[in-house]
Amino acid sequence: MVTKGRAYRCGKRSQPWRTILLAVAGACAAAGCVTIPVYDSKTDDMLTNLQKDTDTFIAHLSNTYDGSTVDGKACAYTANVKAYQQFKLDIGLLKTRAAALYDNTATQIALNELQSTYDALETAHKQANTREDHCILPELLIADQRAMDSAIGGLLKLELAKKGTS
Amino acid sequence: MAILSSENVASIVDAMLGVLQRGGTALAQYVESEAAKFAQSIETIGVLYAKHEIDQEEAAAQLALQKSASQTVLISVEGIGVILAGQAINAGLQAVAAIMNKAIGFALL
Repeated sequence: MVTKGRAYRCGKRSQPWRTILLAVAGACAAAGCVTIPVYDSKTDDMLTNLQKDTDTFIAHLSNTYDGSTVDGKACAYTANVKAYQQFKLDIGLLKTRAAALYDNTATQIALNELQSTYDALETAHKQANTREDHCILPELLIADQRAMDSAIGGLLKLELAKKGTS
Repeated sequence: MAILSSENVASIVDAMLGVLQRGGTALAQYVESEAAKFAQSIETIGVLYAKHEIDQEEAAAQLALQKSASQTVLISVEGIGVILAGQAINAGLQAVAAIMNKAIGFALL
């Protein structure tokens, strides 16, 4: 049996670290082992597709920006409402899958925040639609794409960490 | 009666710290890189607002997007940290499993 006193006496490492690690190890020993959430390749695929679709969508907004004042043009919010509906649907499917998997709380919480990120992009796009050129400025689209990639990338990293390859 | 020697205990510590140090360093670098992107985006929003190219409402909406994306990243990092802790504990147990199981006569670990 590992005793606290024994832990304090051995080795050269700092004592607080030893105490914490050994306390955790003791708790684990009593329970058997620590369960790591299971990697889900379907979630990985769905996130990768969402990232691809989002990149394509933002590239479309950027490529069709011409600075003109015509409402309803390709980069205006009014011409892209369906894309936001599709993103909501895709994230909804991801959330349903995440909820069905055992011990998957972190992914579920992160997906809720990802939904908020898409909601914020839609709000920003609606707000841009009130300007004369009706579209998100190209400089902002670069920042938006960076943010969306980071958010989805974080979730992908979390999924890969379950596999031990983050 | 002690089952684990001080060397066995040290091997648990080494196994755990090995996992935590490798994973922790990679996570810190990741967060640093994401924070730099966040700063760059905030800068873009601030500059466009200062040049009157976007109004206050649009700047606020863009900022909300950036904050939410960063929040998603950090929640993911938190989840990875929990997984890392689990891996560290399992590595610690693995380091002494054979000795412990042999000593007590069944596969506890």
